Amino acid sequence: MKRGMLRYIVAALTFWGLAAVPFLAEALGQSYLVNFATRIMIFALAAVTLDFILGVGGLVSLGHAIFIGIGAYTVALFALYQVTELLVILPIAIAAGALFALLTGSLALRTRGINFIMITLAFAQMLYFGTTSFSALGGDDGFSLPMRSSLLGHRVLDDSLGLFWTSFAFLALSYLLFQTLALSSFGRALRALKQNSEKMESLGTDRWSLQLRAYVISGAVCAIAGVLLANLSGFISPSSIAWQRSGDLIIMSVVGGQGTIIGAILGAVGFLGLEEYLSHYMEFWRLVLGPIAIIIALLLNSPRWSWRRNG
Amino acid sequence: MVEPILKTANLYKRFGALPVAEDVSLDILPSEIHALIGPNGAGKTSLLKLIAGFLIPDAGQVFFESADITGYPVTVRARLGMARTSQLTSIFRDASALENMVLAYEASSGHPLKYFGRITEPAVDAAMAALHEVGLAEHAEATASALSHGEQRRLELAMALVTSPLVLVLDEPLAGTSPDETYAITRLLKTLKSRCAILLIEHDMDAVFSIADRISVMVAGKIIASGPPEMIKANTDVQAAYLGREQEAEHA
Repeated sequence: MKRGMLRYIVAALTFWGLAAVPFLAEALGQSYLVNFATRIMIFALAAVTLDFILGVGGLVSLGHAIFIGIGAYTVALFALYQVTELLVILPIAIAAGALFALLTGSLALRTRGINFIMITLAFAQMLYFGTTSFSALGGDDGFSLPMRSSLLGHRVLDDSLGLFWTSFAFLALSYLLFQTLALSSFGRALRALKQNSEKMESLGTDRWSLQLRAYVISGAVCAIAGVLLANLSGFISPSSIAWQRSGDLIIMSVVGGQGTIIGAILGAVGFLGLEEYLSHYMEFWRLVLGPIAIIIALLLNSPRWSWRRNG
Repeated sequence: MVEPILKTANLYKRFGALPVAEDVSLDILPSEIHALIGPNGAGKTSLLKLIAGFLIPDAGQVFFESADITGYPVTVRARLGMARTSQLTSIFRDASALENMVLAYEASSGHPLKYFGRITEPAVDAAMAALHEVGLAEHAEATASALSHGEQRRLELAMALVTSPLVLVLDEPLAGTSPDETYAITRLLKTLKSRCAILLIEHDMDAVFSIADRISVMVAGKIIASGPPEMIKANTDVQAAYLGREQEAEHA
């Protein structure tokens, strides 16, 4: 119960903190902060979807950034045909994410552990190399979006505040969705499968179908992050969906305390914040970031410090 | 004649050159306690795995309520009403005793597909009732890994019970339990047989001969005798193959 309270307090503080950014930026006269916070929230959204399968479900996917890519390239594909309506793009991006997760997950989940990691990586690499040779969308060089998406014809995302609050809303909704799932009997069964899948099967629960559902939900929602990211950067290239990005997402979801969901958001804030800060001072900022990530992960995931168990 | 609830027909299974089941035909009647005894390495645990679906036989069939379930996966057999506990206690160690029970209850009733909402009252009621039966009600909130060995074994038994099984398959339920716990569990098993059939492997001969309605003796993958306890006691093959050897050891 105490842990549950702590989680709600942390979540409330996190979202209030994020909501304060535009006002803070205006007060400080640092307008770039709004775009920076938007970027953080977009990756936080992706990290939340990964934390659900990784932290709650124990499925280490080394190809999760590909779902960001699916969302981003959906925006680009529609841009080729001058379609910018979010109500068209978003459902299709989500469906594409779900479909890709269903196809690859149904195969990858036949295995587990290191094999699962390798298969998710392999599928992600296939799509990655597909995009590098997709000349209509710029191939290796990437694709510049002619314009941002619109909502019901209104160009609400053109303004950085509009994109900020849209990203904020999607992050909040995803947080609520995955937090609810994590506490449901579905989430409980996923955690149990992670701990002792043979026992769950003895009790009548099919590992494959349960984990596949989790994977599909996670991939579908992660595609939303891609749609938002494409709009934020106005530019999509294969390098932004490379497997290193998947690694970054793993760090974000692990350092915040696996399976806590809110921890993935804090992880994204910490990771991208450090990246921004350190990269000002040195080229090899990952050399510093790596050890910090390891120390935080060890501390947060040790039983004494852990606040991830649910009451 | 009562139809057996669980039946194996001419099961064969080999691991390489080692036969673990050779022509094993066994039947378990509703509301009987059927004990499987035999020396170590006789193939008892493998037979339970063949029955539960963790091993697939090379030849022969497994029937459950007269239906051929030989090719069915573990999960389907579980949902049909076959509950099992393992030789090495298998529970969710990081979860509380109550959470373990709720997981077992939900897994058996298809609940994992509920995406929203918290633990339901019927789940908690069923969980607490089963915990009470095995005498663990006061430890409901304790983390499973913090329970004693005997308590963990009783928790696993309770998890099997909460699924309302038709057949309970127990691999050495008394292994490593204290004399008090042994007494409590054997007494519990006796009361359970009005609810479900029980097939168990056990090395505690006093317990086996006091609770079993029928005993099957397995040696080197073969059932060499099957019948009521008195008959098994009197069987010279059994004495030679198994009981005799133990008595010799005790007398030595």
